[in-house]
Parts: sequence; C-alpha cells; structure tokens
Amino acid sequence: MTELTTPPRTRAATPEDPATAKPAAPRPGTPSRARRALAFWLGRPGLLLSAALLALVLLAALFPALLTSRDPLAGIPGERLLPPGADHPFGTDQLGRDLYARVVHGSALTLRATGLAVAVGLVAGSLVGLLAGYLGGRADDALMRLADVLLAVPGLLLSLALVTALGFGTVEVAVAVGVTSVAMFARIMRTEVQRVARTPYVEAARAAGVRWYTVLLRHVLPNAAAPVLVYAAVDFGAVVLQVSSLSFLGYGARPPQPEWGALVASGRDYLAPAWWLTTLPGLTIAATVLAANRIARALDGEARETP
Amino acid sequence: MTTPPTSSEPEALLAVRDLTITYATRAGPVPAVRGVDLTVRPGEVLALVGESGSGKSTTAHAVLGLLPPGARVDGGTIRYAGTDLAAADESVLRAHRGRAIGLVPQDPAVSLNPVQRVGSQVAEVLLLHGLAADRDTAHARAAELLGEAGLDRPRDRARQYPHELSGGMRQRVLIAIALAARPRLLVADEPTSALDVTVQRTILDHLDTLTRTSETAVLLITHDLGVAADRAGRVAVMARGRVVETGPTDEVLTSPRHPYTKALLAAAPAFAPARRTPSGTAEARDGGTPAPAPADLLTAENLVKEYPHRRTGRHTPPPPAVDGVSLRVARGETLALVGESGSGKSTTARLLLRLTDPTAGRITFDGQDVTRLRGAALRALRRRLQIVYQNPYTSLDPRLPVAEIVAEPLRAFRVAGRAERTRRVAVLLDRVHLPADVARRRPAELSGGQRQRVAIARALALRPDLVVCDEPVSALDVSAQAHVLDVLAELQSEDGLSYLFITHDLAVVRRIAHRVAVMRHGRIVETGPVETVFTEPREAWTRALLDAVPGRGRSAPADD
Amino acid sequence: MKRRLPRTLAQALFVLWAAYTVSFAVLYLLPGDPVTIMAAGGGDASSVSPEQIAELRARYGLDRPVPEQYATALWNAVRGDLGTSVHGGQPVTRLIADALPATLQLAGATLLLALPLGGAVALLGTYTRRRWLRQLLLSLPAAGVSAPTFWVGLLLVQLVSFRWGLLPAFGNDGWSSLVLPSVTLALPAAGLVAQVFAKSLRTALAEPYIDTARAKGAGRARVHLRHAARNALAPPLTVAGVLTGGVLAGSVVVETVFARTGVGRLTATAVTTQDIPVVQGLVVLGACVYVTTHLVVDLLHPLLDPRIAATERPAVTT
Repeated sequence: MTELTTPPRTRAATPEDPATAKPAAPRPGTPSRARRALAFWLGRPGLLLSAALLALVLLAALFPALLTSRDPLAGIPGERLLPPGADHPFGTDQLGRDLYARVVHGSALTLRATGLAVAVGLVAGSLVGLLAGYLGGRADDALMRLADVLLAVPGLLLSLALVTALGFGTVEVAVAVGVTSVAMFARIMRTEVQRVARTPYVEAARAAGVRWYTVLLRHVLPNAAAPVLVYAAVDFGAVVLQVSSLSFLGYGARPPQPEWGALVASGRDYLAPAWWLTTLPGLTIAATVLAANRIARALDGEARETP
Repeated sequence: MTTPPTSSEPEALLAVRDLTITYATRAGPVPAVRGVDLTVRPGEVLALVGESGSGKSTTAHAVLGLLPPGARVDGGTIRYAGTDLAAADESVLRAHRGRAIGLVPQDPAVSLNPVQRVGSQVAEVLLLHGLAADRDTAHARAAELLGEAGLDRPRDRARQYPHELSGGMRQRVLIAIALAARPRLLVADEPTSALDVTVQRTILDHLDTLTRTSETAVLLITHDLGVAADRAGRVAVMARGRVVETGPTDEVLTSPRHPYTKALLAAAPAFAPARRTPSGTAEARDGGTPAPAPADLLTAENLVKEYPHRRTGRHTPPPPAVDGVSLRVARGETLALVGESGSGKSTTARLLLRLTDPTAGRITFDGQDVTRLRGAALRALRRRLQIVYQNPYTSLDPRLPVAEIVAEPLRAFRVAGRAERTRRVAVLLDRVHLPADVARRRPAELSGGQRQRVAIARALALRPDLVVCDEPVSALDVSAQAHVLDVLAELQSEDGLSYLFITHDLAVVRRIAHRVAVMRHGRIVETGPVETVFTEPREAWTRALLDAVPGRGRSAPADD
Repeated sequence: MKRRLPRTLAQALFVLWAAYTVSFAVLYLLPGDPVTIMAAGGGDASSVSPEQIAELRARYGLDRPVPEQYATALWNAVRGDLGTSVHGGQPVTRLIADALPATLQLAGATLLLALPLGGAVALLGTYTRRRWLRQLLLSLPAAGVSAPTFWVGLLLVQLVSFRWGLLPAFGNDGWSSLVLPSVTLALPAAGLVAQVFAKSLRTALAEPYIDTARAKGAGRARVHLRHAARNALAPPLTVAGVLTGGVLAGSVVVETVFARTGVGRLTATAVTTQDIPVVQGLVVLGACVYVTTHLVVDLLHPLLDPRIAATERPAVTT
C-alpha cells in the first residue's frame, strides 16, 4: 500500500542512466535477482565500461607483468620516438622506452599515492567529524573552525605548501593531497552524525536504556558511514587529478620512475615531434578519473535510493 | 476516444471514464488507477475518498494533466466540458490549467515558490491567461483575491514572501491562486491535511463559501471521511485504483453497500463509538489537583521547560514551551494529552520520559522523585518507562532486522541470553499481531502500520509500567490506525499497562483514552474523564477544538 | 543585512589570521629545519656550510624562541610585510604584486568563459526534451571535470598552436596569448558549475511549487526559468565563489604549461626552490581571495533567497 503513497518520482533522467528514463522489464512481477543485476548493468553501458577500466588499472597496478613484458626503465637506443604501432601500442620515448610499459608500471605509483591520500583524508576526517558531531559544543566549534580554515586555502595551494615543508616524493605528495580532503570528510561525517543523532530511532535507543557508546557504534556510525564512504569514492577521482598535477609539476616521483603526471611532464619537450608522449598518458589519467567519477555517482545514487 | 458525451449525463462538467494510469517502476509497470469513472456536475462538491495508495491523488492530477514523471495514462477519457483532456496536447492543457480548472495542492509549506512574493504568484495566473491588462492591474487584483481568500491586510500580505506566512495563510494564498481566474472546477488535493483542526475548519468553511457563491464545482480529494461528510454532496470511495462505491454523501455514510466502505467507516475514529467505561479508580477522581495518590504511577507538578533563546534576534524571550504543567497517570489508565501543533504536548512527553530536563517542577514515578535522576538510576527508570514514536518510518533503525530492533532493550539490560531473546521476540511480535517471519525483515519492507506495531513490541520488551505514545497513529491510514489502537487497548487490558497518549486527534482520544488533558500554549486548560470533557467542555478552547473535528454531529452508522 | 556585516567581517579576519597561523606552523614547525631546506633550495642539503646556516638563522630571527618568532612575523604581516624571498631577497609582497595582474587577467577571462558556459549547458540540458541532446549536454560536464588541466593545455597547444598555427602557445603577449590558458582553466570550471547547477535545477523541478506553477497554466520555459532556475541559483553561486580560489590554484599548472608569468609561476618556482616566506605569502593570498569571494557571495545570497535575508545564519558556513 505505502509504496504508492509516494509515487515513484523517478529522478530526471541523467544521460548515463538510461534505465531510469526507460523502465526495464515490461512484464509485471519482480524479475529474479540475477536478471535484475543483468538489466542494471546492461542499462548502464557507461558504468560497465568504467568498472572494467578501473579493474584494468587496478590489475596494472598490482600485476603489471600480466599486461606487458617490456621493461619500463630500459630503453632501446634504436627505437627512439617511434609513433604508436603494432610493436609499441603507445609508441616510444626519447630514450627508446616503451610508453605503454611505462604507463602500465606507472599506475602502481599513482594508485598507491591516491589510495594513501584518500585514506589520510577518510580516517583523519571521519575521526574529526565524528568527535565534533557527537560531542557538540566547544569541541565542535573548535574542530569545525579549523576545518573552515583548511577549506579557505585552495586545495592545490595547500598541498603545495605542505610539499614545501615535507619535501618532494610520492609519499609526501600523497600526504599533502590527503590533508586537503580532511576538512570535507570531517564536515560530511559531522553533518551525518548530527543528522543520525537527531533521528527518533537513536532517541528510541536512548529511551530504551542503551548506553551511549553502544548507540554510537550500533546506530550512529553505521547509518552515518554510507555518505562518507560515497564521498571517498567521489574524492578518489579528484585525488588522482591532484596527485598527477603535483607530479606533473615535478614534486612527486623522481625520474626515471614512471608516474602518470611525470610522464606527461617529460613528454612536454617533444610536444611537436611526438604528440603521443603527452597525449596518451594524459588520456589514461582522464579516463581513469572519468571512470572513478562515474562509479562514485552510481554509488551516490544507490545510497540515496535505499535509505 | 472520440465518443461524444452520452446523453445520460448532459450536465456533467467533468466526466472521467474508464481511466487507467500506470507507474513505471524498476520492477515493471504498476497500475495505480484501474478503470475509474467519475462525474462532477457544475457547482457540486464531489469528495473522492480513499486511503493512501488508493489512486485518488493520481486521478486528481491526471485531470490537470500533471502526472508525475513515470506515470502514464493508458486508457480512458477525461472530458471537461466536452474536451478530452487525456488526449489533449500541452497547449490545450495549458489553456485549461488555472483558467478552467484550479488546483489547491496538498502541502502549503512547500507548494509556494519561496523566492517570489505571494502577490506576484497570484498575479501570475491573471497575466498568464490574459485576465489583466497589465502588471499593475494584475497586482491590484491579486491583493483583492488574497483578501477574498481570507487574508487580513491583503495589500501588505501581497508583498510578503511565503516563509513570512503561517501554514494556514499559505493555504489561503494557494486558494487565491486556484480561484484567481474564476475556474468552473476546483481540484482540491487533501487541501488541509497538513494543518491543525481549528485552522482546517476555518479554511474549509471559507472555501465552501467562495465556491458556493461563484458556483465552482469542487473535486475534493481526502482521506478523512469526516471532511467528506461535512463538505461534499456526493462521495466516491476509492480503493486499489478503483471506485468501489459512489453516491450521495448521506446515503454512502449511513448505509454503505460495499464491504470496503463499511470497513473504512468502522475504522474511522470520527464515526467510531467511544471507549467502554474505564476502570473506576481513575474516573472517580476528577482532574485538577494532582495530589499523589497510591494508585498514581506517574505525576508531574508544575513542570516548566524554557529553551534558551538566541542572543541575537528576538528582543523578548519566547514563552516557555511548557509552562506549569501538572498531571497524573494512574495504573492501568490511559491519559490523553491533546493539543494542536506547538501546544507543548510533545515537549511535556519528553520531559516525563527524562529525555530532556525540566527548567522547574517535579516528576514522580511510582512514588519516587525522578526529576533529577542520573546514571544507573535513570537507566533503571527507563526499564519501566517506554515510548512509541509518531513516525514509524524514522523511529526504527533502517539497517537492523526487526528481531534486532525488538530485542534491543533486552540486550541493553542484558535481560536474557541469545536463545531466550529470540523466543521473547517471537512472543512479542505475536502479541502485536505480526507474523513470525517479520523478525527477519527490515523496516523498509514493512507497511506503516506494521512498523508501528514493531515499535510497540520494542516498547513492551522490558515489560514497562507506562508507555508514552507520541502521536502513534497520526502517520497511518485509518484501517492501520484502528488496528494499532486495538492492539494498544488489548495489551492494556492484558497487562494493566498505563498509557500517556499524545495526540492532536480528538476522535482518537475518544476511542482510546479514559481521561483527557487539553493543552494550549504550554498549559493544560482542561482535564477530566473523556465523556465529561467531550459532552460538557468547560473551556471555550476545548469547545472550539471539538467543534472543529470533521464529521462531528453525524451519527455513526449502524455497527455491522 | 546590516547586522550581519560586522560579523561576516570578523569571521573573514579570523580566517585570515588562522590561515597565517596554520601556514606558519606547517612551514616553520614541521620536522625538517626550515633554514636547511631554504639554504639547500631544493638541492642537496649537505652542500650548505654551517656558517651559511647560522647566517640565515640570524637573518630570519630563527635563533629566537618560537613564540617570539611568531609574534614578530604576525606583527609584520599585519603591517603588510610578509618577509623577503630567500632567493633574490625581494620583499614577498613586491613579488606577489608584480605577478598578480597577469593572473587576475587570466582568472577574469576564465570566469567570464566558465560561468555562462556552465550555466547554459545546465539550463539547456535540463530543459530539452530531445533525449540525445540531453544526454550529450549532461555528460559533457563530467568529462570537463575529469580531464587534467595540464593535459588539456598541452593538447590545445599541440592542436591550435602547432598544427593549425592559430594562437601563440607560450608567453604573456597580449590578449591572444590569454585565450588558450583561460580556455584550459574554464573547461573544468564550467563543468563544475554545470554539474552543480543541473543538480540543483533537477531538485527544484521536483518541488511541489513547480506543480503549482504548472497548474496555473504556465508553459515549460516559464516554469523552468522563472520558478526552477531562480530557486536553483544558490548552489552554483557558492561554487562560483569557490572557483575563484580554484582558478588561482589552477594557474600554478596552467602558467607552467603555457610558460606565462604570474602568481602560479611564482608559486611553482617558490615551491621548487623551497622559498618558505614566498610560499607562506601565497597561502595568505589564497586565503585573502577566498575570504573576499566568500564575502561577496555571502552578500549576494540574500538577494537570491529572501529566506536568508530574514534569518541570521548560524556560525561560519561556506
């Protein structure tokens, strides 16, 4: 009965969600779980592609040898600046190194830095937000003012300042980028904790005599966590961009280590003769970020649909 | 689609025939309206009555061609003065909306554009349909219309924004918008369900007068049989997408033919008989002096709750939310605390539950002063004092299965082992008439009435002495309401529970309570046994509240 | 509004002070001796002699206790003295003032491109009933925000300058040199504006007051522009404020790619040479930009939404 009280206001169709605009299975009744899953994925080719691409990038980061047998660091002097072809799908660089192998091996560095940065933001931010939201009062004021200040300095500028203090390198860059997202994680966690803490089911638990720490762990945290985790997915794409920007500027991995941003930077000197040196690693970054954002949006949508 | 109006209904203003509407959902198409026939004659009021999900709102919106995305008219005709609106294109619909058919929407709080002055919003109708020569005349006329809709100082009001008006005033603005172009048909979709009864009454009275003088026909959508009884000449009862019964209001309400209508009438609190005479102890002593007697389980003396006002902003501190409330609840008794929104009844409940601390006053429970209880003693009190919340959609943790929710108080007090808890949960679910397999499900899979019964089961887990019910049925349909109220009454007679029943609905009070206390502006204005207060109210405010109850004065149908 | 202004100003001053303090703490107190870092200038620290270090230490007052250092630095900052560059010795404020005009041009051009573009894409994408156009318009912003600016910049240089020879690839000469950098920065900015605006438009379009407007007989265009868009403007306005700071940060990458001079280039150089006073000055500049745009946005919000004008807004909100 109640399902119909709120007519299914299908959110305005987004281009990536053709399934919401065009309802799937025309026959009534609920299709099986597997069929629904199939319909879900087939209705979203973009999402499917994104998932596949991220899986590929992850594979490249963990087991690069599965995707290429070439050495990313050893150049072949006779094969300098070869355009993309059957032998070298991404071409070769000025030292005769295979660009495809460098991109594949570079994904490990980029992903490690991204993962570390997101983890720093997620853990530190959630902790701050949880404390601020649950304690309230002065602790809340102080912590959130600090978060405001972190947000007041543009992200890239803040991470540059941190890199100046911490020094150059992949880990340093990751930490510096991670710190810039602490404030957003803290804010989201705080808002969620406050929202959940005000819900009648939390008050009902209190009224039933449940102790405060049990309430926090059993009701508040699980119900507040979803949006924070979704933001971690949203943050992932942005962090990939920031990490590669910093390594493009030369503050990340030291050459000859292949790292995506650094690959683009080193290709700059051969912009006219070898377009592929900048274009293809850059395209890899763009595609990865696009895929990550697409998946984040899907998670976001699902989190909202199942309250 | 092209059949001309049949001669049997020459005077029909609106004729809906065999209307079928389906919603597209992920699980496939869901029929919402299945072959509905409706006729509205010029100048008459037709009430379309039904519970949520019956398809009544969808039908109403289809008349204006304003179906939500995903809904589609699959068949049938909607003829307005000869034009089939179901097959009409957007430009024809646009010419009809506002001009020929006005809409009074459901929730005045969100139905006005928040960034536009209300005068402009009324004037927009006139300008859209070319009923005013220019902006100035449109605005002048808009102010007049606001005055006609019953707003004081209409010229000033026209320059205000929606957030500066109360809910009742906003609904009057929406009425002014709906009637601005003098339409011949008004579709009123639950026009006052979001408002307090006294406001509801004055607004419906006013709407009556306006439509009667202008001979506007009204299609009144409501879930409230009382409202339909008071306002409509004819009634159409909808259930599961079909009109099950239609006819003159008196006929349908006094001698319903369809079983669904009979069930609906039996469940409707407005038409239900009063509670059986309650146990003597409570009735013997009239309200007023809250002298603690041995039988009193809970007493409150001069409770005051002030909220600290903001430093900036208002110059005078707001009056206390609760301003000197005294009451008592005897063992095995139900005390109803009645009032409109903002009267302080919910704050009083929270004070009594010790979820918030009173500024002044004293609370005793079973003879013990519990006003400042803390720590372990407070937790011990919680075992005996439980609560059922208003909205069963938010009072259950959406992530936990029902078994965990019901067992939570048991876990909190480490009352029983795992196996014993499972057994007790099964018993509790059975006592609130829920099937055993509900234990494994999550709240989202249950209906509102089922959820509320889960909440009751949770409240009963620790075998409390007193349960505070904060508007426990106001979010439910009448049939679910009746079921929940029956469950509560049954549990009381079995266990000797006491209830403090917070509600705005006097009809519900009559059905469940032994005694009633009427609150207004943070004070209790009148208290006494239900029958006494209802038949011989001493205070004018109580009388006003009683008079505003829809459907009052109509006799209940024969019980069958 | 009059009552709000002093409070907003006090908050702005607080943010500036806090940004200065935090950057001081980060840059001077983190492990790693600032003097060694600065003297090495991004090179090898072991090449610096102890005498050099002692001399620097004395020059920057770093031999004195930390609270005193902080108090002196803050007092100087309040008087508009942000110290001097380690390399070259010019005053930091001077360096920033010289670099600022070029970057302001860039930022202005970027916003002038991004705001109308993003707004138009969102409006049209939510308005059109043609499925393909809707899908196209609403997927463009995602691509815009996902592409790394340095890559987009290099692609533009490759195509527009090298292949087609239309516009200069590098430098600061005239307006033609401004086109490619500002387009590079405007694409992600417009993408962000479009995403936020499209989302708030969709939310507004689902509100019940939209049904009221349609029930009056208003047409789609009128409902879209007068009722939905008016109500949907606040989030993109806030984002536009944030973007101004974002453009400043983005100039670090773009000015490097296009070999322009400006604040971004100054930042890149200062970070590379670990010129701490300059970096701190730039952080303070970033906070200033944020505070200013925030102030403007804050004053504009009540014009868009009468509800904000009526109530005091609680605490600091961004």
